[in-house]
Amino acid sequence: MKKCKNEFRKGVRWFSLLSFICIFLGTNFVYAQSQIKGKITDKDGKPLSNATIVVKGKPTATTSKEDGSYTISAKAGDVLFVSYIGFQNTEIKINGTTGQNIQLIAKTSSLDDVVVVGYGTVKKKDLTGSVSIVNVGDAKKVATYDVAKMLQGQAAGVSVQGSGEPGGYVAIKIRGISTFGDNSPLFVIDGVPVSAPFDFATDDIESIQVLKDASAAAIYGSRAATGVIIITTKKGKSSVPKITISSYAGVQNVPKKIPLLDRVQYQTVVSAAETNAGLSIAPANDPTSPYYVSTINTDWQKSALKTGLIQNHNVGVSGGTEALAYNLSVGYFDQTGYQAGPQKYDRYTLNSNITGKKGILSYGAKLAYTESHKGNYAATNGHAVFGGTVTSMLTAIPTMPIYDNTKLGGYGGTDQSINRAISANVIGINNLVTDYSNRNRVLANVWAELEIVKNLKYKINLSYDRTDYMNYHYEPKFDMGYYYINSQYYMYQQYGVSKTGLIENTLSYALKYKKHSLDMLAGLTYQKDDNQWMAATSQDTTTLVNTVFSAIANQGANTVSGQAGTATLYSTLGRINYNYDGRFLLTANFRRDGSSKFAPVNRYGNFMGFAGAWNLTNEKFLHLPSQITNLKLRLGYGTLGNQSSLGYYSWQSYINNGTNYLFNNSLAVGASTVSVTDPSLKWESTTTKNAALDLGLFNDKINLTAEYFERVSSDIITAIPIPLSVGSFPATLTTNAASVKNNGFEATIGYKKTDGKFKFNINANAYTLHNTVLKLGGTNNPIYGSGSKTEVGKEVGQLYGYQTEGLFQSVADVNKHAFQSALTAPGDVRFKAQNGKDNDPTYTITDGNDRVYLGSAIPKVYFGLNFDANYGNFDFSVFFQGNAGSKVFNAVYQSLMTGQYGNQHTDELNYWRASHTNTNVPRPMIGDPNGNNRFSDLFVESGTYVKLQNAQIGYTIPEKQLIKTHLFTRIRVYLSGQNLITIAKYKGYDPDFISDGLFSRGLDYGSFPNARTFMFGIQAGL
Amino acid sequence: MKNKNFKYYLTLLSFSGVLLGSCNKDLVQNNPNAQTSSSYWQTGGDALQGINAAYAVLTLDGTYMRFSPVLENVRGDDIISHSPWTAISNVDIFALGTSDASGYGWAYDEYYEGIYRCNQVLDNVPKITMDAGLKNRILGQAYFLRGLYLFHLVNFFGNVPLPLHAPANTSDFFVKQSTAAAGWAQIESDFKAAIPLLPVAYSTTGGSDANDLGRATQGAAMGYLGKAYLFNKDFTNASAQFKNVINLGIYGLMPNYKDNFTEAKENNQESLFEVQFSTTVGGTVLGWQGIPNSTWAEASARAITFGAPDFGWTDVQPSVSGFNEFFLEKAKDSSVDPRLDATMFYNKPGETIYGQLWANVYGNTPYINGIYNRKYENGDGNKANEFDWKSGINERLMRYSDILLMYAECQNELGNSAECAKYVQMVRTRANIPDKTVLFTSFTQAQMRDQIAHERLLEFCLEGHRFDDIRRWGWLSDPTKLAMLKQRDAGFNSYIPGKELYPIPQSEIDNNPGTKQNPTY
Repeated sequence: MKKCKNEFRKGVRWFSLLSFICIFLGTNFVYAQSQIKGKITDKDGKPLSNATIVVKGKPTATTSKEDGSYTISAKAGDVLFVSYIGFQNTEIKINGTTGQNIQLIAKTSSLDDVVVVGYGTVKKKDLTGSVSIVNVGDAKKVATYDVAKMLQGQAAGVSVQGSGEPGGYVAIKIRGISTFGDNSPLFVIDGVPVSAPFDFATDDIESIQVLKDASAAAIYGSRAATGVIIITTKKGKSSVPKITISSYAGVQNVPKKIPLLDRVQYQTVVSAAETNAGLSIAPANDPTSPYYVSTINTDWQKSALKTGLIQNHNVGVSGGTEALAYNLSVGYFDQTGYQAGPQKYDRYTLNSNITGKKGILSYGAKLAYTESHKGNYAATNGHAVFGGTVTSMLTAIPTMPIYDNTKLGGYGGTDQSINRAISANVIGINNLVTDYSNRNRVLANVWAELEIVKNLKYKINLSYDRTDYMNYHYEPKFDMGYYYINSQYYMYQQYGVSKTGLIENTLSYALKYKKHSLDMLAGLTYQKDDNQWMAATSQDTTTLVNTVFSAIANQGANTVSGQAGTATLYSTLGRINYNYDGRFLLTANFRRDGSSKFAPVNRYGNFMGFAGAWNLTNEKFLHLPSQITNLKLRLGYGTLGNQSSLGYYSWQSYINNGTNYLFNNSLAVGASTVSVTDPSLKWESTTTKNAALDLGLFNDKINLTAEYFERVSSDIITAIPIPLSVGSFPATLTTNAASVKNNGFEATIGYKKTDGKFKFNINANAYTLHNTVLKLGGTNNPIYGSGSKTEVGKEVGQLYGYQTEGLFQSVADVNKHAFQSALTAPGDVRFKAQNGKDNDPTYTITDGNDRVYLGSAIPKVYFGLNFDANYGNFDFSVFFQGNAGSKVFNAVYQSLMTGQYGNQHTDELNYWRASHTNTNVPRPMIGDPNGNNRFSDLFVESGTYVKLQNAQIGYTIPEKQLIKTHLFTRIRVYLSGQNLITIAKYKGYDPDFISDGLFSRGLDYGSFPNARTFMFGIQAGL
Repeated sequence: MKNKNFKYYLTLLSFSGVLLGSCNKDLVQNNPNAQTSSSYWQTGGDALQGINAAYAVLTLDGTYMRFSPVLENVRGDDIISHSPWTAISNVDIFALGTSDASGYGWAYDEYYEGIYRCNQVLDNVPKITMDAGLKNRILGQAYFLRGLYLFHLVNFFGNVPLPLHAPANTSDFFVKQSTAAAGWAQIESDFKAAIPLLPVAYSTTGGSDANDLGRATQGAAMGYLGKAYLFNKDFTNASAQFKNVINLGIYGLMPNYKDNFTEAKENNQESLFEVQFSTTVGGTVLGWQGIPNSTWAEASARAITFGAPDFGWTDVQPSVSGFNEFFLEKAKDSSVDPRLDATMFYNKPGETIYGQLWANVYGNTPYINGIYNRKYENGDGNKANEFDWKSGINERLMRYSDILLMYAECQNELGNSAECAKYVQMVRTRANIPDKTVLFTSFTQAQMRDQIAHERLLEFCLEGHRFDDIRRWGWLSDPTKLAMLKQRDAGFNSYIPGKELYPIPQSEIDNNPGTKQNPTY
């Protein structure tokens, strides 16, 4: 029994030696022995500070000082065990009683790295589930405010779409679509599940792990169906205070111009369109008219696009003692837009972590505070900016001036009769309309862990996440011509707060017996989300001098609205990790969630995951060649839940008491059910299967991971369209309707050369994604998006529209073809009638019968490649990212090929006319009675692209020179370029665009193109 | 050791047990923002608010806030559209498609929203213990409104589903498409059910709906029942209903024709039913469509849409032929038909528009010789322009002069030329047009039809009746008449048989299995 106990203790200690948190165990006891002194260096003699030195088998430990020196009590014959991050653990037997210099060898294998998984950590080599460990160093080279954007191309299975709007939304998905609502994964920052992770500074991130399958993520149960991204921010280490500074600043531009018509070209095309429609030529375009415009020739793209600025600064200080280590940093991020106007995003951040350990008690706390301001682009209350700000900038006519002093507000516009074009002056709107969103966020967390008896730990984790937001909109009265005339000011101000409180109790127990080791975890969590907002609007024909509500004289101009809601989630969870001799690994996860968002009968969901791994490297019978340093097979299976798409009270049918009317000119309050609901809503669930092979070669210089995954998401909650004749608004039913399968292969390969003067690293990843809709609910009616259709057996959001067959060249052509419209004439697009009806003039082409699939909006393969190199003090890196095999509905190009009032792409100059028939550009005609501009293959383009997303060259100032400063320990300066090269055939600005990511995922409606950035940065330590 | 480990297990298990047992109560969260549907429909107050909600759809974008007037007017030969918004201009040229359901699709959607609310009243109110008189009036209004909404749906779209109950579960969502004939039968049935339940007026009802001008009355139900018969060429029954309205004895023509289109004289003696709008009551936010909200204004966007340039968008304007029709016959004092000045702005000496001289406003612009809408506009000095989007003028859906002319039309069809002439002249006399009763009595039935067509155009220009008239008179299938229409309004050049119906929105076809699209779409 005693022996057994010793074994057990030894095992535990062995474990603790390797893990950060436990390294200080027992340091309180000092034995009266001789002081061993020495210096710890790398093999080049560079001192290594803060390395941990432990006397093996004894509780004595210390850390090396700034100059690498250490002092420890030990006696001859003792063994010193030295560990240091990034270096191989080293044991040295003490020969004498004096100095003992120790050289550490840089570690190439990362298998001993500790990976943070849900509610605990695991060594990388013991992983069973599918977890991507992001190279944070590479990811941080992306200049962005949003951690999601940083992950683009950095991990297999993670897809990211963003736009160039400062502070704009970034869409991130793991292994495809698993819900029809929000597909962004659960982010867990320092153990706290959070939404809107973009609030937090990317500088503070220490590590990022992506949990991709159920066996890894099931511990997060109901929250994890879209995957989990675990972020750990920097923690203090026991040392003297260390200060780090990192800063960059740069310029941003739109790297591409879309060729547009100038004044004369525009006037020519529109005049032709009017003539074709039997209309007179608009006076502005008619040289014989007194209203002919000959002096204005606005290049809207040139005028509206400027250079944006981006800068980021972060200062951190860390240090402390074993009992209390701290890390504190403050950050500032600022990005101004590249489109003319005051739009920008800036953010101040504070992140502070303290951790410590005293005896059997470990503890920590976190406080993060963020204050951000986002100035939004032109959105007006009453005047739609058609197609959005980017498209409107492109379609603005060249005969509209930017400025016009005679008009209210000072910006130019068009005239209803002279120009006949409705054209948004986006520069005017951007400048006249004030629209911004402010967010203040506090994330606080405190935890304590008590080791009740050896290896039995109880942990309590309390967190509080509060965001106070304010959205403000003000637009004055203005006159920017036809349609853009605002005779009432409009002001809107919304204040809201969302709060999440979380209590987590966990018990864990570790057990080791001979070759068996077992880790168990059980827990209970309770989470409460509270949301409240209140908004006021004011609208009146007076002029508002002071744009605050107290300044409004006419109280009748004001209205108030507000809403409140609470959702709760109560969960029990458990996990068992079993490890036999490092050869067989088994993990079982379980979580039971109860959510207030469901009706009582369907309130609870049970989610579990199982995974096993076989570490073949540790099988002696296999006699693997020595070149194979790691070979592991992994299999996982499990189920995850989701409820994120669901409103707090979606299952409850309610009475709308604002359906008011008037009688006798006084208000008559009306009340009615206006929206149908499904009272039997239940959990969404995703079942995942994962098979993987990890291979390490040549002392893990080459690492390869290949995985196959399959995810089937069932009972997806979605608003399925219902017949309009039901009379519900919206004409949808939110219900558990759909089922979707995603499957694909993922491969990650890395090679590193760590010796010699020239060191480098190559990491590449690629993955495929295949999406199949299994079920859509009800009668499985397809869901139509913009130029897309989602139906059973196909992908979500597959492109859908008309096939074209060139242009009609003669009246006879028109008459022989299936009927399109009464006004169809030569020069119009010939749309293909399906089902053999193409040459049947008695047949009328319809949306219902003649639209077909036009391609997949999902890339066949996604890929990313990082290359980092070091030569002496220089470092260099490039990062390529892209995808291939998708199609895009270029709605921007469609908006520029209308042949209507509005500026056009230069391709439109090639329009069909009697004297120019060899073209595929249809005749322009006001009103477009043939529907030439409808969704068709004319606007479908390849979405394949490869981008040089980042190239960076850095120089680290040699220490010899730094020493002279008596201040700095490290200075690195770098130049970086982002989004430098895009290889694509795409006619729009950027094939990497943001869309709804779902039913219209292939639609580029005019996303802000990703900027090309050049920047200079500095990283310093002192 | 074994014992010790066992103890650990026990500790763990007991911990888990304690943790598992608590907290369930916290999972009950009630919506703090609204009453649940299941707790509603308990009192007379609930019933009254329920019927009020059924009216509220009349002020949505697809109904009378904007698009129903567009859909009703723009196809007529008296109206054209040069709107850049094809949802409007394609109405004029019969070129709407199914890929963009803006406008007509909103109308389809929103009339069904109204039917859903009527059905909630009809399903729930009979069970409520409440004042019997009020209950009957509420049920009568629900039948009337359902009939009115179905009237619009059948008239615009032809074959449509006829949901007669609020859906109790999801399987009730898929009400089969009915024929237009079945639709008309239901419309007639609803109006018939409404007539005995509705009061002649609310001034005498007492109760919580007392003096509520704007609620549906018996006269309105009779008028619409008659109109439904007329649209189906059942002249005998139509005539009887119109006569019933006349016999109520409470309606009369306003001495001043223009009073029918201003804010000042709303709900007047000539009005059988009108949609209530106001710029002073309700919220300020334009509630085009969506989940209703008390911040929504109760205003109409018709005036800005139909308004003259520089004062509104001019998406809709009179045709030259419509304008010229007013000059065919002079008033008794040899002046131009006074209805023209109530209907249109145009370049005439001393013309003012929004309180300014026409010549000053349009003197140096291409608009100088334009013809613009005046009816239902705030252009007579009431407002500086329409750019606040908000008009408070009630839309008169059915006027007594319409009853008179429809009655006259029935008499003509039934061969009673003297009775017909008498009622046609009644409407002319109010407009100060010479008495031609004797002449009209001598007209053949066909001549009288043309006369009635002329009279109706002048009386109802911009009131949305013209295209309905053209269709029910068979002009679209009469080559001579169609040629005339093409000459009067080029929009008819692209008319093909079938386009008299709007397309059924694609989402209804997609989501209600078995629904067939109208021909030509």
